[in-house]
Amino acid sequence: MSTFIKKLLIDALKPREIPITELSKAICAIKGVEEVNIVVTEVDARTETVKITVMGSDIDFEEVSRVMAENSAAIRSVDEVTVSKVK
Amino acid sequence: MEEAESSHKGFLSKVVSRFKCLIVGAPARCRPEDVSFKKLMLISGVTEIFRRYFVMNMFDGALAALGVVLGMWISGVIDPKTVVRTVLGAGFAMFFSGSLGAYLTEKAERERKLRELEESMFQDMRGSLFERSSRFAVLLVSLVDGISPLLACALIATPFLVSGALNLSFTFAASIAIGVGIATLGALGVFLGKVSRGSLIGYPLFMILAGLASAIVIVLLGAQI
Repeated sequence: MSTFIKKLLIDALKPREIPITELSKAICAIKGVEEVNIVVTEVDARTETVKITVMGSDIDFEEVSRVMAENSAAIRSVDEVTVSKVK
Repeated sequence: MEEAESSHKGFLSKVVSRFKCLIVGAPARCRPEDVSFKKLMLISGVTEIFRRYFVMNMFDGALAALGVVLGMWISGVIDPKTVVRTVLGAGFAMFFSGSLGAYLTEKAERERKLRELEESMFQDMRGSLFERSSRFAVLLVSLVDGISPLLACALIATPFLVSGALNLSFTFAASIAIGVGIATLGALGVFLGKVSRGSLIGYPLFMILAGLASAIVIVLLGAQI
C-alpha cells in the first residue's frame, strides 16, 4: 500500500521582489505537480504573505520545500493536506 | 548537418548556461531558468539603476574627455598619440574607479537589504533567487559604471587614433573629436528624453549646453593662465 499527496495548502512568506508568477511556475515545474494557485493575503513593507495551493497526482513535499526556499519563500505552515491511498 | 548544428548550439547554450550559473554564484549544474538574466534583472530591479549609472558615467566620461582634448588643443599639443594616450588613460582611470566604487557601494547596499529581509523572514537567504539576483545586480552595475565612461573616452579618442592612417591634420581631428563628444552628449540627452517619456529636445539641449559651458570655461582658463 502506498500513499500519495494530492493537495497541499501552504501558508508562506516571500520577498515582495519575487513575482508570484515566477514562484508558481517554479513549483509547477516539479514532477508530480499539476496545478499551482497562489493568493496574496497580506502585504508588508518587505514581504508578502501568500497562500499556495499545490495540486497533483503525487506531490513530493520535500521537493516543494526545496524549490520554495530556492525561490526565497519561507514556509510558515501547512494548513491543509489531501492524501490518497492506492491498495 | 542539421544534427551537427543543433548539437553545436546545444553545447554552446550549455557553456553559456554554466557561465551564467558561475557569475551569479549558483551551483555549476543549475537549471537555465534559474539564471535567466531577464528574470534576475526583473527581481533585482537593476534596470533603473543600470540606466541611471550608464547616463551619469557616460556624461562624466564625455565631459572629461572633451575637457582633456580642449585643454591639450589650447595648450599647443599637436601630437595625436599624446591625446589618445591621455584620453584613454583618463578613460581607464574612470573605468577602474567607476567599476570598483560601484561594486563596493552596490554590494554593501544589497547585503544590507538581504540582511533586513532575512530578519523579516526569519530565514537564511544564502543561495536563494533573491541572493543570486542581488549578486547579478552588483556585477552588472559595476560593469556598466566602468564601461560607460571608457566608451565615451574611446569614442572621443577615435578621430585622433585614425588621424595618422587617414592623414588628418591635428586641428581637423580635434574638431571631429569635439563634434563626436557633443554628439555623444546629444545622444545621451535623447536617451534620457526617451526614459522620461518627455521632451526629446530639452534633455539633449541641456546636455549639449553643459558640454559647451565646460568648453567655454576651459578656453577662458587657457586664455588667463
